[in-house]
Amino acid sequence: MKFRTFFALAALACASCRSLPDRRAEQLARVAKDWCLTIRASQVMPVYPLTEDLQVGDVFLVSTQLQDEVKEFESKGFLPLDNLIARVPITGYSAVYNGAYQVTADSVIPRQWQFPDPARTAAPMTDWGVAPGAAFPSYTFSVKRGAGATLALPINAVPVGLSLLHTGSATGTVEISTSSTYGLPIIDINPQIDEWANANRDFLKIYGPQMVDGKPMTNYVRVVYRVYVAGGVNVSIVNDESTGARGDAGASKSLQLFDAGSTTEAVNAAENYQKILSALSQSVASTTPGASVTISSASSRAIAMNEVFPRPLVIGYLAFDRAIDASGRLGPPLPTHARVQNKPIAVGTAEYGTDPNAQKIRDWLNADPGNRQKLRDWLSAHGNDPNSIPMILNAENAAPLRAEIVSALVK
Amino acid sequence: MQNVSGVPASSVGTVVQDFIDNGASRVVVEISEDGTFNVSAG
Repeated sequence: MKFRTFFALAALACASCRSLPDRRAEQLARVAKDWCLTIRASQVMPVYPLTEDLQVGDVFLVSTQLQDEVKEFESKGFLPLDNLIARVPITGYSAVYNGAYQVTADSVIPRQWQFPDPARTAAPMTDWGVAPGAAFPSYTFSVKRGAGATLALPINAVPVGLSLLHTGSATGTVEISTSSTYGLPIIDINPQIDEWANANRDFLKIYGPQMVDGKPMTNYVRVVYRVYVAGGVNVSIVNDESTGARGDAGASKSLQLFDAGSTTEAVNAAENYQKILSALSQSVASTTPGASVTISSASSRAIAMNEVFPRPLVIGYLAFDRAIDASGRLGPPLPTHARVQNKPIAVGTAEYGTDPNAQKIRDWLNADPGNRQKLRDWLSAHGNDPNSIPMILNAENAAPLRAEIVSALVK
Repeated sequence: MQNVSGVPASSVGTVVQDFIDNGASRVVVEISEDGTFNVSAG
């Protein structure tokens, strides 16, 4: 028992050894990852931090090894979009949307939704509400005293809610209330990227295949072909502190929240409740300029708010990757989402590289017509594309898979 | 679409045959500036 107490105290001592900045960084990283996983659950690549400045036609340079990118995607939940090399002006929306969403042959997308003409002087300041709609699942978070005030998300309602509840420990839900999307099919956007690549071949040639630490490395361009934009969020927060002790998060407001027990007449209760919500919203607006936060319900234990972003923000995107070859030309488009999750891709490109196992497999395939189907079945059972046999035989990066096939089937 | 790039001249025939054996109805061979070949099928 003494030993158990000692170990418990030792564990507590070790936990307290970690500095506040370390704990805060860890919590922010976790919050960021949780948010990203929510977006990824919808088969969309998350943008982090949120930004307004990401568009269809943005071209990024990807110079990270695929295996490293896969690891980064798994550990952080998102991929950094830090090497923007071009913003290709994309056309063709009017044909795809066929006159819907106010898209015409003269439309400049997304400018006409971002900056409507004539300019607005009152909300909504943008026309994103006209664009095709989208929806995402809600996101649950928990925040603790000290580290939680900055949620690593640009959502003002969270620190405001913590302040109004007088708590530093709470559980909450963020629901993206208004989201829009736009994009083009790859078959429409790809020729436009080819045109840009042909005009910039000398630049792209610099990023052709290279040897890094004795290993061949292929660079890619990542082309955004669809983005998802959020205009606001609904935030609900429940106080986790049973004592209701005052927290240190967000702006301090000494407001009395609604207490149903103190109201006797139902008619007056509803009226008073609306007055309190209105007063709260006005009070919040006066202390948080720039944030459009309105209180939709409140009690001493929980609060729900609607927040409209000053300008809609991009929260996710879809993209495809194209390998850059030695002459600066681009390979076929490969879906980014599948690549960074190590999923098999039916459309593929590879650098040539063979070994004795390739010829062993060829000889085995030629020895019996039924062996090809056996190999296809084996590939399917092991998560590979059954139609990729030529790629497996000739791709340099398929050497480990060839060894597995020889071991399992050829022997 | 499947594409193998950087194929040396001596191996182009083998790669093309691999695509044909796999049922490809159209195989394209392109020469690169570095003297190797791109072989694609789809």
